[in-house]
Amino acid sequence: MMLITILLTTCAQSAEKVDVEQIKEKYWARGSAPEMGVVQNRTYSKALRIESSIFAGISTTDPFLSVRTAGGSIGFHFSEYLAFHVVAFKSFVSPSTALKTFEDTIAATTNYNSPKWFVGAEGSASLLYGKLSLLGQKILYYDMHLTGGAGLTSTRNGDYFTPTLGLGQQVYLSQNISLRLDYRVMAYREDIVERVITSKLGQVTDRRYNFTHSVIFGLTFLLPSFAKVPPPGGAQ
Amino acid sequence: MTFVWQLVVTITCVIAALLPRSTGAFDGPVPPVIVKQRLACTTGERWQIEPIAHPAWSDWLSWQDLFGASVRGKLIPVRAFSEALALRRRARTPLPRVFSEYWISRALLDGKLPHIARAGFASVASQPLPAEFAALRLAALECLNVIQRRYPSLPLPDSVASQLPRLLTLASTEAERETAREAIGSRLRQAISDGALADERKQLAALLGAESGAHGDLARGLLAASEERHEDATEHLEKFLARPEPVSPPSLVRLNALRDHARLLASRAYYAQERFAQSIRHLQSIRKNSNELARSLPELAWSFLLAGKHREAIGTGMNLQEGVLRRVFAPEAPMVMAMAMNELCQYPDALRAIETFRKHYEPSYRWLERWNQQPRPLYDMAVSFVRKQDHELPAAVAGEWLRSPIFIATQEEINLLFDERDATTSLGRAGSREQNRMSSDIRTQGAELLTRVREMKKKRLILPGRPLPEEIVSELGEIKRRITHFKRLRAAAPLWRSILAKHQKTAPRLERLLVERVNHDLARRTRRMLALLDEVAENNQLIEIEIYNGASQDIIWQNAHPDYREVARGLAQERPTNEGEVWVWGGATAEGGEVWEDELGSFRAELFDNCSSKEKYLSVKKRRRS
Repeated sequence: MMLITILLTTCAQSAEKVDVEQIKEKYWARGSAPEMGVVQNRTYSKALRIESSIFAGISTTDPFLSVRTAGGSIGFHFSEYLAFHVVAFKSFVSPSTALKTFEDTIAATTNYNSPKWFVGAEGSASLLYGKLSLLGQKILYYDMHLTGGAGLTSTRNGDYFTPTLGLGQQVYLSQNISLRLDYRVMAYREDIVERVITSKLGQVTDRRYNFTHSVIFGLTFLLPSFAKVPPPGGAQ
Repeated sequence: MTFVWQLVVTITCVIAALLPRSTGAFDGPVPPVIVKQRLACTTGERWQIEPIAHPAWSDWLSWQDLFGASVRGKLIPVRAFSEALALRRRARTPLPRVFSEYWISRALLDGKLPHIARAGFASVASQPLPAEFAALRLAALECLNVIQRRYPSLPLPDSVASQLPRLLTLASTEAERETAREAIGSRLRQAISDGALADERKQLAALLGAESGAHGDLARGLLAASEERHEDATEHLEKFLARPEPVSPPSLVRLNALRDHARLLASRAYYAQERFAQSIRHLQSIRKNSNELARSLPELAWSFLLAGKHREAIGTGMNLQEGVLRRVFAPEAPMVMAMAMNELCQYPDALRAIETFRKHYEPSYRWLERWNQQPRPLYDMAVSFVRKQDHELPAAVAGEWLRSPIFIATQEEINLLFDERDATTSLGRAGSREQNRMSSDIRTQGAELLTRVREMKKKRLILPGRPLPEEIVSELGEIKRRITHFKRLRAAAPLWRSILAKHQKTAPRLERLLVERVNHDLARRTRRMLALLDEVAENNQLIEIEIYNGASQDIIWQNAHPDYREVARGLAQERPTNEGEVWVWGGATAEGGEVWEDELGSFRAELFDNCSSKEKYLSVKKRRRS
């Protein structure tokens, strides 16, 4: 036994190739990406958490329509920076002031295609996270995300494939709840069905691109994390 | 064969001294001068001899082209080596001979074999050659600097170091002087780190002179710091740090990596002079991603404490209790916190800080004690820790090993040995491919030429006894040129293999030496950690006695003044916030909150001064009574 111990302690150790670039700076992080970041122990962490939202908003889709929306989303954050969401909302449509004026003045109406609902999926990238000072009196934790995805817009004239692009921001109220304000631009190619000229009733008279601009405001709820959360600072 | 062996010896520099020394004795009355036109060991490197058509080197231009092609990467390193070797073999005068030796080293460096190249450059730089060779010697020194910038554990060889005074006097341009200064600066740093004799260090510092720029300021600052001449240290280091961070040339950019170290040393020198404000300023300017940060924070806490800024001292100590900095070995931080809290008469918190030390450093202490009873080499454990494979080792202990510049630099050299092993194989394959390609090209070109000659003969364009057409003559010349290069490549192969084989033979020994160096350094650090923990634990006991003493008096005092707590609470709310100096930007708890990198070292604890509150309480009471 003693011989083995002597052998173990005296035998030369063989050199090994090791990547030392990762410890030339912040050696304490040992190249671990989350620990190399400028923010550690995020107070408002999203990684590996399910997020659900409820929201309401307005959409500008057709000048003759006034559209309000209400819906929700559910998603999962793969990391602090990347997430995937399923979004759905219903549109509540009424004639706009422009349409009412038009109808009152001309004593006729016009063709329009009112949206009914949208359902889609999108990826989201959280690019900015930080503290903001509110009038020097309160600190707000802010998160900004870019979204991109696709879905289906159902309208009175049919259902259309709709790619979406958006920009949103969240202000945390607590570890699990945040206020959300999102903007999305949604594009689809729609048919315009004749509903005014009786001789052409029901016929598709036009096909055009529709760009809907949607702004929503809501509340977001983060569910507890799936993963075992390491102790603060990853201390061992 | 003897000649080949002699060349092996020359290039590997093992018996370089046995080679006949270039004496610089030329046949012609005025020897040619070789001049470097761009930075050495870069792709733009270019050389010129003056006068160009000197009889001592009549075919210079063709070699100049070949050298240019090799440094621009148009020739693979094996080809470049073969051409340089051919020049070495043909050389009858010193200039081509020394230039070829420089070129051989250059080809080896391009072939990713810095160990062998370093020996070659050292041979060129250290030869006592006449002044006409100054540019070549300084270029070799520049290449040694390039190697050292990449691999800091490959220091300037002693043979070159002894020639530094001469090389500095030979430098005729500012760039060459900068090269010499860089080498002297790095040699001096090495001498300080190795604990070389004071005379050698002073001699090196004196070489740099008063007007030697950033290298000189840093060197003099480091030397003064190592000799505990604190005022001199701060003066020179301040001068160095006042210079803007350069983006070029590489010799100065290299110093940027040492700025945090310079800040740390400057802060220590100010601390020793009890100029705490300046010490704090330097410690706070250390980059937050620097490996020096972990060392700077406990020192910052000390500076704050001695400057009477107790809340800042506590806040700085808290930085090391949060986030990933929890992993660093900084046992003094909780001790400073306890002392500062004691100064504020915050006795329960002071005891908690001492408890934090015990809790946090107990596993490290136990591990260190076990190791101390039965020391064993630590290299393997450090490597496993870098690879995140060792889960038993306390992170604070292993982290202290990882930040060792000796560990990082030596491991880089070990990695280099592995890379050189790979490079040896790939260069061998590349050489063999190149040889096949060249022979195939010659055969194809020869066959095509033969066909054309036959056709021309048929057409009676070539007649017996008449000169060959010019195009055929030119093509024959081209084939001849290719055959010459092919022959050079073949002739170089045995020597190339021999050099690499020799290096591979010495590599395991070097590997063992490097591992030993790391083990020695890690063992030294480990012992120091244990000693520091012992010292801090002992100090903590004394602080604890003081805390209990203060706390017991506090209890008696509070019993005598039962309404104190209520009054003190009111006094705490009244305390000044000095808004101009402090930006309240969120809080963190001792249990760990969000940590923003830029805030490290700028924390301030929200603790009121209980001692002054007592005085205020008494004055309040006195006022009420009167």
